[in-house]
Parts: sequence; C-alpha cells; structure tokens
Amino acid sequence: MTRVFVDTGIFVAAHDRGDPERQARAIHVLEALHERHEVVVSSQVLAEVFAAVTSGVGAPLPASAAADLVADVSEAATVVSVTQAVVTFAIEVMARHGLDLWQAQALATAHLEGARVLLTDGPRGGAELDGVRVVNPLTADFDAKLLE
Amino acid sequence: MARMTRKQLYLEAEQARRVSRRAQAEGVPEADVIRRALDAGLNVLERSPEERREAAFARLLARARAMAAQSPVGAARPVTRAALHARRGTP
Repeated sequence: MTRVFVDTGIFVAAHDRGDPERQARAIHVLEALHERHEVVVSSQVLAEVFAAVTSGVGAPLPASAAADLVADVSEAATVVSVTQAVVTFAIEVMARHGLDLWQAQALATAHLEGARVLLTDGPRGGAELDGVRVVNPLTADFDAKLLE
Repeated sequence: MARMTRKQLYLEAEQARRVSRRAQAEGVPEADVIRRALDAGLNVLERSPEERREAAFARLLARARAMAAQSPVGAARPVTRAALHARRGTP
C-alpha cells in the first residue's frame, strides 16, 4: 500500500460542478486511492479545501456541508500537521524547485511524512522532487499505475 | 421488548429541544428517540479505525458522485492557492 499525499486541488475538483470532466477524473482518482493506497493530507489541505469549496467552485457549498466534507476527508485520510520542520523545509525548497510557499509546504509535508507520491494539480507535475514523485492526476493521460 | 434499566441523566438544553422536536415529529415517546440515538451513536463509537476510515471514504465518494450527477453549473473563475490564502472573512 503506497503512501500518497493528496493535495487540495484533487478534493476540490471532485466537488466542483463547474468542470464536469475534471470532476469525473478527480472522482476516479479518489476511487483508485480508496481501493489500494493510504491517503495522507495535511492540516493545510483541510483548511484550503474548506476555503475553496465554499467560495472557489462553480456551485459553492454552504459552510455546514463543507464542514462535513472536511470531516470526512479527515477521517478517510491520515492527517498530519504543518509543523515547524515542514515550514523550514518548505522555505528551503521553494526557490530550488520554483514553488510558492503553499505548494512547497505540500511537498515538504509529503517528503517528511514518507509519502512516495504527491498528487496535485499544481506545478511540476511529472517531476521527482526530494524523493517525492509529483503527479497531476487530472490530466487526460493519467495512469493509475503512477501511484504504485 | 428488551429488558429495560432505569437511568437518570441530564441533557444539554439544545439536546433536549432536538429530542422533543423529533419525538413530536414522529409521534413517539422521547425515550424512544433517546434510545435510538444512543444505539446510532454507540455504533459509530464502537467501529474500528479502519471501519471509520472506510465509512468516511464511502461518504466522501458518495457526496462527490451525487454532486457530479447534478446539472453542471457555470465554471467559477479559477481560484489560485495564493488567492485562497489571501482571502479574509467568513464564507
């Protein structure tokens, strides 16, 4: 069972009726993860999911529904905190990999938590950064074997 | 009917209101509502971590599939991660 860090955009896309094709891909990714992998998220992801689904999607969710969604993500995944070590590592790698702080924090968390794969719709898809394979699973040519 | 044991306990005011509303809506005694709520709550608490994870993942997928089954809406202007962090206020 591979440890896979799942970034904010994947959960948001799965709940965004503004882009049905992307939504279908995101749901497919969650199904694949459910069957075979340990999903890891950070406290940063939980907060960003709440913020995005209540204001950054085609049909925003009420706060109470978004809270239920965040609660389910929290229970379905292993939740890790954004610690001082994560922030320090993120600051170190952001310039080296051309990432903003928030993306670098996702990478740093994945790295420090031993996740081999970072699923994200952010930059650097296809790259191997600090031992973490960065994969954008919302592209048309995504192959679930990349999670192995 | 199963053998009953008498228990006395305090409810928070909001809990008492919810029990009362539910009992009235269903036309059943409040004690019946409380017994069913206890069973439901204890069933959740007694699940193993793996069962809770499975149930949460199932809810997550069911919610997303249900939303996908609804009519699409107009796409929102894509929100960047940096913009999310720059926002202020309550949704």
